[in-house]
Amino acid sequence: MVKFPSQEWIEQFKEKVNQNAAYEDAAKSWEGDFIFLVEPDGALTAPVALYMDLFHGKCRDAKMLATPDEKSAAYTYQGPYSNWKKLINKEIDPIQGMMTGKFKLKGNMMKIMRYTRAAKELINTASTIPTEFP
Amino acid sequence: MWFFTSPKIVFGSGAVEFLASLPTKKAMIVCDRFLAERGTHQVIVEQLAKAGAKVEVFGQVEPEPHIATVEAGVKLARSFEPDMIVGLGGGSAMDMAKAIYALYERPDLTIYDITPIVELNLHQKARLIQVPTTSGTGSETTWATIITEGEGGRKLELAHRDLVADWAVLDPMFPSSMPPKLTADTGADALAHSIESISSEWANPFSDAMGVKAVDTIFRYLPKAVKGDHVPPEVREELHLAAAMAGLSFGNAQVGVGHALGHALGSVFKVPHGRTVGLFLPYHIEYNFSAAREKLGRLAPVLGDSTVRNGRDLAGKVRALWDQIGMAKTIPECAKITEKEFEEKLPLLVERADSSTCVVSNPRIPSSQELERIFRAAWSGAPIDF
Repeated sequence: MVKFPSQEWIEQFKEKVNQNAAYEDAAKSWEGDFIFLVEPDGALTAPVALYMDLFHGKCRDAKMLATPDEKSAAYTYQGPYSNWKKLINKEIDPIQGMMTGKFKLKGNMMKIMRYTRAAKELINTASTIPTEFP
Repeated sequence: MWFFTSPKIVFGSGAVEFLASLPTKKAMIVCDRFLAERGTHQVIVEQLAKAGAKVEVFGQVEPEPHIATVEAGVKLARSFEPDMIVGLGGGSAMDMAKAIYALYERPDLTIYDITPIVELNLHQKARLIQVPTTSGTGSETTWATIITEGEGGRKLELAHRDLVADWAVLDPMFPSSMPPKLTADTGADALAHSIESISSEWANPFSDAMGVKAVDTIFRYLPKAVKGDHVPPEVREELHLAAAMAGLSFGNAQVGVGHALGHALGSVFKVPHGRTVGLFLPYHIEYNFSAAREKLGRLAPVLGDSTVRNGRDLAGKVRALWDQIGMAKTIPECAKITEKEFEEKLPLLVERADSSTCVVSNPRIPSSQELERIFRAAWSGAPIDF
């Protein structure tokens, strides 16, 4: 089991994304990095930012940032810790999550709306990580 | 957590007279050239005159409307400053009215900002009223608008909950003179909305109620509306309400891969929307049935237990309806293109379907390869067996 959010978790996520042919197909023309911001809620007492550089169906870099403002990215997808737990457990659809205000997305909206299949594949991938939620 | 979003609806014979009761100073009617030349909009003008409203008509909406037309309409709206915008027509005119309305309300935005994941805060300057003259698009009850980027360009699938009209006016006088082919195309569109939304991952009890009722009505009445020499008014009215219900169904649950494929084919080869999504509906069912068996089983009370037991039979039921009303079942029947043209454009078709937001809630997430296989099946008429 890997604790979420953590450096170990984001490394495993990177590895699994790079093994996922369906994601590679869906994101083959995608260029853009992300910050996944986990807002404090419940057991999480301070914000945690996870960074991923996604490029042409692969993840080139992934790490847990020391602080949320250590690095900027083309997109920031953020929500409270309890909603991240539901997202990874596939209890929340990533797009519906944004449409109902459970998550917020900053960045070029029109571009990302063309990659909804890739977004779903990312969440499918995250859900395969044996995750422990403190 | 999810929402069920609907406009207030006034329906039935004489529904258009309701417009006279809405306090309005300035109203802008958005319609297509055909309706403007034919004078159909005068019915609306007369009712608005009773309310004491000054009226401006933007009668330039083309089929599969373009961004340039949106910009022209917004320019007129900004100079006229209406407190009511009325979309009058089929899907193109009503979609155009939504786009003009959004950019009139929010001059700081561009059309690309209209996505369901931002705050728009519309409905500050004007009311949005939708008056459909066809029975199929469902645009009168949805929060989606389809605008084409340019000649042969991509169809932008824009959506936001604030684009739902304040009122949808469903008066059966408007679709009463639809010719058979338009009746068939629009009815097929409504059936595709219903069945795709019932199979959607986002389907919910409210959307299902609307979708199942719409499917029942369309199977009962569409052949009568297409084949009859003199279509009884009650048949037109049933189909008009069914189209709005189908809109409420897919507007709250999304469509699926059938619409993604239909939008791609329509944009690349300029085929009317209803014809393309009707074409792909049986393929949508066959492709998704294994993942949506339980959801599609909800159609058993209206289509029969045996019909919904497997995808081939349910798709067959739709194909039999298409035979009755003269709808295309393959791409060559639908688009009148050569195999060479199809093969040349196949990568573009796949790319456009692949980037469609319509696949977001599809029961199966189709790969690029699967999209290509469905296009090929729709070319030859072969069933989907993967």
